[in-house]
Amino acid sequence: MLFNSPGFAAFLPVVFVLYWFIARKSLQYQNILLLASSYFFYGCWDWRFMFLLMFSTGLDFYTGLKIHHSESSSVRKGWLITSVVINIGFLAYFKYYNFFFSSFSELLQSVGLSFNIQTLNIILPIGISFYTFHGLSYVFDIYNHKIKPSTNLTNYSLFVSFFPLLVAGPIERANHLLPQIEKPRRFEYSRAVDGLRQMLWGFFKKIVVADSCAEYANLVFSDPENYSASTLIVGAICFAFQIYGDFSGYSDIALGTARLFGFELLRNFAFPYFSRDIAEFWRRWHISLSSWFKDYLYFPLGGSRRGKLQSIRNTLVIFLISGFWHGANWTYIIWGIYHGLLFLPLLVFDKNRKHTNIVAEGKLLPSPLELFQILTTFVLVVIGWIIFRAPDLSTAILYFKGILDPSVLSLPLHDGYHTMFPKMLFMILVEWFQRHQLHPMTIDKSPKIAFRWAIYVVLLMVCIANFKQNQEFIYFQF
Amino acid sequence: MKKFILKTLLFALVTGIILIYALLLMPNPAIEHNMMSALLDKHKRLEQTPSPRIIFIGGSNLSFGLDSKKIEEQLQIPVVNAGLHAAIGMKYYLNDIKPYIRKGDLVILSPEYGQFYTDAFYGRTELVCVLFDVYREGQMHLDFRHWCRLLKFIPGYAVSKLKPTKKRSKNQTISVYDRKAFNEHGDAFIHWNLPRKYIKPASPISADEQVSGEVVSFIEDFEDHVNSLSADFLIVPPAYQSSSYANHAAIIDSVMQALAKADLPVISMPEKYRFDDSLFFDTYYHLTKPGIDIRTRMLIDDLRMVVKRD
Repeated sequence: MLFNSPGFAAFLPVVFVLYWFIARKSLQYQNILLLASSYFFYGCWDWRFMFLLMFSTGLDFYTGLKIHHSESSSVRKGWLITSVVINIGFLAYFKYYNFFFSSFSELLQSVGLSFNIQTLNIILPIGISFYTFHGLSYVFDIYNHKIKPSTNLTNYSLFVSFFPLLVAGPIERANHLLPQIEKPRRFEYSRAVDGLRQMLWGFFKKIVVADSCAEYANLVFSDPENYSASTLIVGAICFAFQIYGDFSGYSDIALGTARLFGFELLRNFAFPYFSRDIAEFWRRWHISLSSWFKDYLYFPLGGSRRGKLQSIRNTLVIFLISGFWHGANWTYIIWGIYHGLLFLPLLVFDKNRKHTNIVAEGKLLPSPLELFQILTTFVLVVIGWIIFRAPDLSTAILYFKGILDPSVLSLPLHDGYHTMFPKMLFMILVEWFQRHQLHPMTIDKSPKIAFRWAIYVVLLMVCIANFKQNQEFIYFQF
Repeated sequence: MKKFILKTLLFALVTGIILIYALLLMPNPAIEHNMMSALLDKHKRLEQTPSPRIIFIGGSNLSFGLDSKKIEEQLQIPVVNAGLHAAIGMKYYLNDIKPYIRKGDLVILSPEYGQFYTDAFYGRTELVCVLFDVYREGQMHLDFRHWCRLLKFIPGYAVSKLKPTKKRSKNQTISVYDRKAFNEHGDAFIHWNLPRKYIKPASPISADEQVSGEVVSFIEDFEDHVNSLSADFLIVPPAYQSSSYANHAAIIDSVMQALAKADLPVISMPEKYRFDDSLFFDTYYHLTKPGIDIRTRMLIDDLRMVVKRD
């Protein structure tokens, strides 16, 4: 079930009413209801994969308890390894099996050896990368004595499967979400209203911006040889807006939906396209994944404690794995390495934490220097998106070659211009003026209710006008 | 909680009222020049053209793919091209044409392949436009299930009417998709002298796609209706871009098998109407003038046998 589908428009009010009216008397009833709803939500894609989700949940629940109750460190480690191997094993099988074997076969063929192995027709279970990381963070935290395991399977299952975050994050942490699941929740009017507003902005970004940009980007990326350099540049910018609108839109809808049920999820985006360098970009883009890698990979590898060289090595490892996490394709790996390399100069010169404040804080517009930094970072990010979006490396190379063509001065393909650019501009302007807020639809009470409602109605109408059926979210494939 | 529910319901009510107002009460100033309004002109032509005649019915593969005058001259029989747009949906356009069929007519259906395996059969936003702003009487052709299928397109269309539209100047040229882009036979002709555009081939479709039995049995019922009026019914494949055909060969084959199984009268093979990419104007169904000439010639040859026989 997609967030942007009529099915979800019916599903959400039903669960909301049952949750706050029928199940409100008991926390356990509420959690069971949410869990059942989450499995229903997941099962709407492919019910067969519910069993995989349940198995993964049961495994981590059990190993969590075993790790906690074992006194011997070798036994604890054994249970941890069991959980990691099985979880990563599933991920490797469903997501990377064909990639590994076809890459291995190609490698052998390149040195004159033949190795024929049939690739399998494997369907990727939706959300597997996300719920696997939920489970892993839980067992890691228990192993590191950061949390105690949950003794209630329903609560733990809900932590893994809570429907707003199940298929595309944010990647939650047990010490953040589990306590919320275990404590009674009260309905808060202001939180629910704010949740609806955040959902509305998420729908706007997805339906109005991302889906419009997708048409242009898909056209250009499907056949880059056929387009002029200027069209390829516009296509790459469109993809930058598409992926931002798509993924941050999904996160806004997820966070807003969770608020309707009394939960606060981790923030996943903080206006990343206003970043002044790549380090800031990665503190603002897919925050829950970046912080996951920082906590469970970068720090265990030694972080920056053992000198600059090791810090550089660890950072490159993180970006490499982050690229690989996105999918079994060399484009993602190169994209990860590319970002790692962009990060290097900042690490070498200790500039990676230079920009931690909000850009142009308290000012209407950025300074010329800030504007230059923002635009430079955006261009670097867009170059990365070309690698990320291209179906394979040869297409990415063709794309870059095409951009370097003299036709850069020609007029780009104009299909959809007149509608696409105003939408992109509107989104950027609203986000710029609201960049100090948690989300752009954070509106205080000062404008009169009629004015606020007019904004909501107009946004909703624009969403309805731009709505297209079956527009999936990009991150579902990861 | 009560306040939240009440305010949410009130918001939904306000939104609903705006949508209903836009849909039912707001005029659509752009409709006069909208291609969908050509439906009224086609109705008029169907009323005024004497029988026996040939009536072509289908989507825009017909409106952008025929030279009806040539067919009329060659076969010595009046021709009405009633094809307009695939997104009106076969279910609607076949029901819509029923009252105009008379004894001795030859009704030729040329459906786009998507009608057989997508929800295009029930119509999309274009049908909503027809039903609310072009020809409200057409609503009587829809049953409850058909309305349910169409429901998802109604809010979007209602909101589109709220958008401000530029007033058209008197000297403005007629666009390819204007009501006035159709000649007296119902063929779109404005694009005949325009250069073709690059057309991306239709994407390959899933091997799981299947031909809808409902569509085939609907055509069978329509054939029975035509025959009951002492008129004749034929099916001809649409002209289709060669590279798109390559991506859809399997489903086209399934469509043909389903039609053959239902014993429906198809007078030619789809492969015959698979045209080179260079003959298409702006979509993989819309032909350029040279493409139209070739298709028309081929159709005349195919039809000559049938018309002579009759």
